[in-house]
Amino acid sequence: MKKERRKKQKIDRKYLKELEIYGAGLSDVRPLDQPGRFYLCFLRAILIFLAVYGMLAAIVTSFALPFSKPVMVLGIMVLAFISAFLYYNKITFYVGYLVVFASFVFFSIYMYLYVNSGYQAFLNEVYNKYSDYFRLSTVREADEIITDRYLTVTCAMLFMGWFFCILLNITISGYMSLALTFLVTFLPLQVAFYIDIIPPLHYLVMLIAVYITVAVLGRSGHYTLPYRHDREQHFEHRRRRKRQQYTYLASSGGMLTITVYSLIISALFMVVASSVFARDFDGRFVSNRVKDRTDEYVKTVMQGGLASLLNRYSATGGLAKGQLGGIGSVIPDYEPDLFVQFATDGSDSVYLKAYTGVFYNDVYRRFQPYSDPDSVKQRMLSEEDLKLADDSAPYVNTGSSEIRRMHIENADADTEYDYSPYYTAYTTSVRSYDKKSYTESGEARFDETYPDSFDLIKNAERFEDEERVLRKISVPELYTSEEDHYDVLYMPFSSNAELYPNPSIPEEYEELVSDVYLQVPEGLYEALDSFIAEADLASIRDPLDVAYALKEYFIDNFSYTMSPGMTPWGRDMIEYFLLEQRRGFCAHYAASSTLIFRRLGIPARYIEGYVITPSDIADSKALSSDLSSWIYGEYNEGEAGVVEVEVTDGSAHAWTEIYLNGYGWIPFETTPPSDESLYDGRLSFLSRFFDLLQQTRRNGGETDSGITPDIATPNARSLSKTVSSLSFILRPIGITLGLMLLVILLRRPALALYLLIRQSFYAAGGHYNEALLVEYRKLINLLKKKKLLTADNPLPRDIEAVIQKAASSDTAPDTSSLSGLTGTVNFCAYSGRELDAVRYASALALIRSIRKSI
Amino acid sequence: MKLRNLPYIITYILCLAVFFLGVLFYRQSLLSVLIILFIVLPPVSICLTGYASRRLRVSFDPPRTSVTPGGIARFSLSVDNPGFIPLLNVLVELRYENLYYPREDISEIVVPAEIRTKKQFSLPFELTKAGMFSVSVRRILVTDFLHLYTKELKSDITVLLPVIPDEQRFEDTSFPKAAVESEDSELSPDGELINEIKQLREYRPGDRLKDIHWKQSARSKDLMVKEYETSSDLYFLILPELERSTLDRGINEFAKTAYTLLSMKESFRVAIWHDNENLFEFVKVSSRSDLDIAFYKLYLEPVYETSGIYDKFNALYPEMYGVLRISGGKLLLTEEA
Repeated sequence: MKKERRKKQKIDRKYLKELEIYGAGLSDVRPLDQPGRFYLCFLRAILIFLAVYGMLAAIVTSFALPFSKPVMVLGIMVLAFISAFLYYNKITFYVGYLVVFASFVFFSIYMYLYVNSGYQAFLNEVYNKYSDYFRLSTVREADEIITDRYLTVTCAMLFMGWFFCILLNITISGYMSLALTFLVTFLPLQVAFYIDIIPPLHYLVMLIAVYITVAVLGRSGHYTLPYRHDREQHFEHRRRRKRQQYTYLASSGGMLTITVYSLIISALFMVVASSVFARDFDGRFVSNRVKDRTDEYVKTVMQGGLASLLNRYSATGGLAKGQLGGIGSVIPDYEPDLFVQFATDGSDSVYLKAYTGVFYNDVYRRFQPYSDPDSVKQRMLSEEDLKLADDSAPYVNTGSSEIRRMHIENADADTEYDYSPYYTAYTTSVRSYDKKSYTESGEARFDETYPDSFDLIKNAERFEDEERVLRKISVPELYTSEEDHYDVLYMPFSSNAELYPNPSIPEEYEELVSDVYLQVPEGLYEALDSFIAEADLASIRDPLDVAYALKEYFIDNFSYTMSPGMTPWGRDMIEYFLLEQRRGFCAHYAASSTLIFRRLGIPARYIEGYVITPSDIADSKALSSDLSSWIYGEYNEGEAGVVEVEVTDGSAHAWTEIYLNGYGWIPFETTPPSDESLYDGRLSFLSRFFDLLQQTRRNGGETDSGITPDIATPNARSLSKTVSSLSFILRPIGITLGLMLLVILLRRPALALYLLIRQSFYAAGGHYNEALLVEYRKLINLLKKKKLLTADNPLPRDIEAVIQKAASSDTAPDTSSLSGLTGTVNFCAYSGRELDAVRYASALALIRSIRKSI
Repeated sequence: MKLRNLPYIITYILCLAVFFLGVLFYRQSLLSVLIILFIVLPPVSICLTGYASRRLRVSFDPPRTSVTPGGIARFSLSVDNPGFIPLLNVLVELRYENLYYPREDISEIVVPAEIRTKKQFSLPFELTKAGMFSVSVRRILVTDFLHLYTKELKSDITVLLPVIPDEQRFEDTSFPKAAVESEDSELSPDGELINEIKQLREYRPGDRLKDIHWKQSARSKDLMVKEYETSSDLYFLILPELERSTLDRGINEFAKTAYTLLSMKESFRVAIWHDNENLFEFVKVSSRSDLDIAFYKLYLEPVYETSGIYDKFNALYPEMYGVLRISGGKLLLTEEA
């Protein structure tokens, strides 16, 4: 109020100054007939009723909840009227709001049980519908204390109706804001729309009519009932620098007309749109990544409530230590975790293994290591078994005689683990000595496993640290202060290397492997079997062939993403990933692969660590081309160099190791390449945008059939997919635009036809006045079309002057004829008497001759 | 489309874009329907507005009574929409000013044109200074329902309303009458005030060129000359010389003199200098309505910092005497001058 008063005082001051300077000022503009306050409040009450009833009834009907329509209509109508009439004047506004608010609180408390039960009934129906739509395995259930839904739902609707009446009274009566009205009414409807439930058409008509009315009235400015202004103020006065604007505040006639017309337009529109575009709007749209992602969130909320959203977390890169699920997205910080120096030719990825997951715990959703006390207890492993099953034992023999050295500096990686490449023989890390007692067995075991290579090292004179390495092996305590810097001696493993049997594997180890590394929780049998059948893996005999087939299947049918969303509450991560989610990051693929292999009888284990890709190597710092202290054995000197690679948490990775009987453990990658990695950095925003739109599946799990198979190029295929995925909206828009274009093109012929029919109709009926005026209008249209007549509403004498100028001299009618025609037209228009047939015929002939002459 | 539509168009496009993205990514039926509605509504709105605006009538009526300084002139603005399509955004752009105190700003009256209704609004102008008050409507802007398009309707409505000082008189004052008997005297356009035309005759050598009646000559194809009848009557003649610095006082003094003469049942003449035509017009005043006309004509002439009107009058009528001269905001008699 103070603000209003200050504003008025300011305007008054300026006005007085204006009077003093210019001697004239426009004071209080007002209509001659006063607008009816009651009428204006009444119209706004109608708008509020339409919005509130339309929205609530649409929601409740969508979920097939019973409610009393007469009570609802009457109740919301009364509430809407009470709300709208709060704006009648200052007293009703300030006192009425308090009364309404107090009544609302009283109603809420008094009817609490009914309202709450109605609300819970609504929630239960929502849960059920969402569960059906998403095929959720678990359904939440709200507790309905009073079970008579007809009663409770009606009470709850009245309660919500009251609340929304007050809210919409502000957005409609106070501000006439489309944005606010839309937000308040449309967002609740999303509960139904999201799962493609379309409420009855008439409720939507009500809502759309309100949107149109509010938009039109809001923009015109003629909606404000001047309840807080001076009683005599009917215009809003805005003063700008060189302009003063006086806007009429309340147009009751305008409000009524717009409300009625909006209802008609929205009803017509909805009927036409729903019938013409029914096929497009049937809710069976091609899905896309954004929708899928949102679906994940919605499912999580439906299963675990809103609180479950808060449990979602995103992890930075690095080791998850076998923990699976619960991670909505991985967001690496791309800070260096390791600095790795080694010799390489950059042709192959280097895997740095750190964590080995052995037992899958489907309760904790974690691949546990041996060292986990639960694992020991669960499996009843003996000390001997534990020693035997050490994760460093034995790897495949690739037949290579090459030994390399790698220097690893742990900058920010988990210090609980060593990071060692395949196949590490020696490490100088103090943790390894502590755990594995290298002082006792290291030399001997390396010698046993890789006799030739170890001889090579021992005899290599060029290896400058030979003595130190050996000293480390024998005297580890000297290096305990260097736990973050260590050297590793390893035999490089290449994914395309030939494999040779490893005779040094003890028989009891193989027995242990088949005992331990085939463990699968019983609860996952069904899911895994279903997937194995789907991917047709059971028929493949060779373990490596199985692995490659699985990898292919993942590439073809699954997608890689760093943000797959959290596994829903109550679901197993592996089951959910394999059967529904079908998108994820490395941990999803590695963990699932491990259990699939195990289910197929192939011993497998889950590994975490880092991977150094060829592109990391390409981006690395070259240290030296002198390989003498980094490589021992046969190698092609010209192609390799020593590099230092910054391994960030973005390089953290998970993969699978499978055990080949008689050969040993071999690392295997089943994670499909990341789609994101395919993006060129220069790829346009538009390409990414359309990629997001591309289909993944149809609602209801149907596979896509919209791709034209004979389109060869990836770009063409991509475009085809995009267009196909957008057909649901492109077709309606195309048809609408086409119709509009048609109307524009046919406007003139249609008008001419209309005038012809009208004129014939009038002439046949003996209404010569109207018939002549129609013909005369055709003449006016012609003059306008030829740009000879520019005035919007020309008088007959103006037209006469134009005709005299425009008509060509030889065919032009003489002045007296034209004057006569003007007189006849005036007679027809204003005399109130009927023209006789003879005069009509002569005037008609004259008009036609004029039209020809122009 | 006008510049004023631009923010609305941008907002509309942004809304459309947001809905379009919503439709693309969330694929909901109602959002799709709303998109189509978004596309359909603008042409419908624009076409309806264009059609309805053809039949729109806007009129502007001045008050029937004269206005005095400090009074209020109630103009009436009528917006008549005989059709069935409402026009909610009819902007009448008007400029009002006292011609002596010109102003640059424009006033916009935004009113609805409700269907089948002639809606009337009262525009009360408070007028504090004497002079010619002018209100003109140069254009009417009709904007569609969504504010995406504005149709401009040209208008040439100009209403002039003289603001005439209140009635006031000199007490016990006697005014001299003026007399003009010069052969060089000018005639007023109607020829009746000082020297009247006796007859028109054919040109004779020696006649003054300025006496030739060109219009009549053109019609008759012979040169016709106006022959004057010299009047020897005496009458009151007021010569108002309005100067910027003493404008209010000058108008008041003129009004006071005129009202005093009228109260004395005397008719008089007012010599009004027409700057464009370079001549004096002598307006005969014998009633209040004549005085209004005199004011009307006086107010239409510009006002200068320093008036040289008396000098011009003297040059044209050197033998004139007894003129009631209003100069420097005071009444002066020519003898005094």
